[in-house]
Amino acid sequence: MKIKNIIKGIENLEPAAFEQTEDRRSILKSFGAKIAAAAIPVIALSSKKSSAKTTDVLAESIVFALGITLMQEKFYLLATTQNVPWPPEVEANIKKIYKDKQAQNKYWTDVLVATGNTVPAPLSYNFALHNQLNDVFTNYSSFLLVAQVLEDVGVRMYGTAVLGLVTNKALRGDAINMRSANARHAAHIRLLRRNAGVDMMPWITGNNANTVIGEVIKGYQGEDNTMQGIYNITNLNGAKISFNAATEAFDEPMEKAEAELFIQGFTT
Amino acid sequence: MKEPMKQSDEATGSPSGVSRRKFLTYAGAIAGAGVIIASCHKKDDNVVAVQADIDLGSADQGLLNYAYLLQQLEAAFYETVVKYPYPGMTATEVGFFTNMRDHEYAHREFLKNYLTPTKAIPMVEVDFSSIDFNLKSSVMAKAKFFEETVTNALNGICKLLTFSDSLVLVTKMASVDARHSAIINDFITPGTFAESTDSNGMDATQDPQSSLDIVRKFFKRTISGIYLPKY
Repeated sequence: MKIKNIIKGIENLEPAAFEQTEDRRSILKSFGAKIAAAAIPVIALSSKKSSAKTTDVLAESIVFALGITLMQEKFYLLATTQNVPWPPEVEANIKKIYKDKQAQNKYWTDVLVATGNTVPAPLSYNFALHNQLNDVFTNYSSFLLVAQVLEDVGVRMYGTAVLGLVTNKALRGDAINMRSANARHAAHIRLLRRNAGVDMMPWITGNNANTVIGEVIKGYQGEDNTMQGIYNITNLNGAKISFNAATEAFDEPMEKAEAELFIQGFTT
Repeated sequence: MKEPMKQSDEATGSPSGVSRRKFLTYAGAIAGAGVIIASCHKKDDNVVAVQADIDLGSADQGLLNYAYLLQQLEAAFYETVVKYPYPGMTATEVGFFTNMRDHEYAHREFLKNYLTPTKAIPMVEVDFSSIDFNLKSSVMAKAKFFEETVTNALNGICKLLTFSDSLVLVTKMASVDARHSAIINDFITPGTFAESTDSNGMDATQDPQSSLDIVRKFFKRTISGIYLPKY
């Protein structure tokens, strides 16, 4: 367990570094959070009380990340116990993804507990998307579709979580590395779906959800962005960069409001 | 060996037919010319002037320059792979490599602009002499190496960036390289897309200094990263 490292990271957090974050205001805004004057009770675990200057933005960001990771874990739990008719060679790969999700959830849950924060209660999920996909666990194609959007949204929501954890190098690093793992899972699921006959690639093209189901489409809103900073990536500097490539090359973060709408579609 | 005229061509862009006397007249008229004239008296001066070290710089600018260098490397790699396909490269493989090349173009050009002309390092010529582009196994092995290295490096860079806007932008690119890495792994050995994740479900990461050490040999100029932020 890396709890020791986390505490160390929190202790090492220099107040100056926190202030260096130019758009702290926008972080708070993006989470709809109030500036919390009170530090989270990690102080009890820390010998350097004065340097443990955190706001509840850190805890909120972890809860936000858990919002998708818990859903993913539940999805793979059901998939692996309900015997989705996937090709035999796929089984071990799905189990590997499931194992990674379990580990991520355990990690964040331990962090929240260790810092005296509330662990979010599990939600009641509806992976059949309100009777639109009743064969989600009995049809390989349906299973892959839901897996695809949960993984892509995982990458996107972690983009927002990383930003919320910017003031704590250790936690931020953890979220970055989990996001990277999520991207690996997403690429693999997309490759499986491609191999199963869907014309798609391991990266997100435009805002194409590769389905007509509205709940899934919500996971791709804003993914067709071609503006990065002030630059339009399409054919930037005369390089051969198509609209598709410009959108594929950047995984857009999904902010709280969009994420909540997306998750609502998957809950009862 | 003295090659003052070659040096003058490099420095002033004057045609090679220009006389030495005329060159000196030219040179005397331009700012900083004293340096050029002085260097003309040294041996091997052209080597020193042309093959200068590149320093990536410090703080966020250094980190972004390092990201820019890595994207230059990946773009050049896939560009070569697509331009000189190994025998038997399938249409599917061409499609994947072309997509990945274009993503790296997007990353490279974006970072170049984002850094701005005064702060970005130049385009650095790559050294792919260790890669056999005619052999599928060699190309795949190097693709795996580059994607893993760059994914880990970008994760490290994201951990160190201090300006949130830059962090978000690099984060957006890092996961696309992670997607590439997963797919190349699966091409080589199916099911190894996430072989690098640890017992916490986290992907690997590497600090800029040590990752620079393993990519240096792919560039024809020497790269310094001594001022880059450390973990």
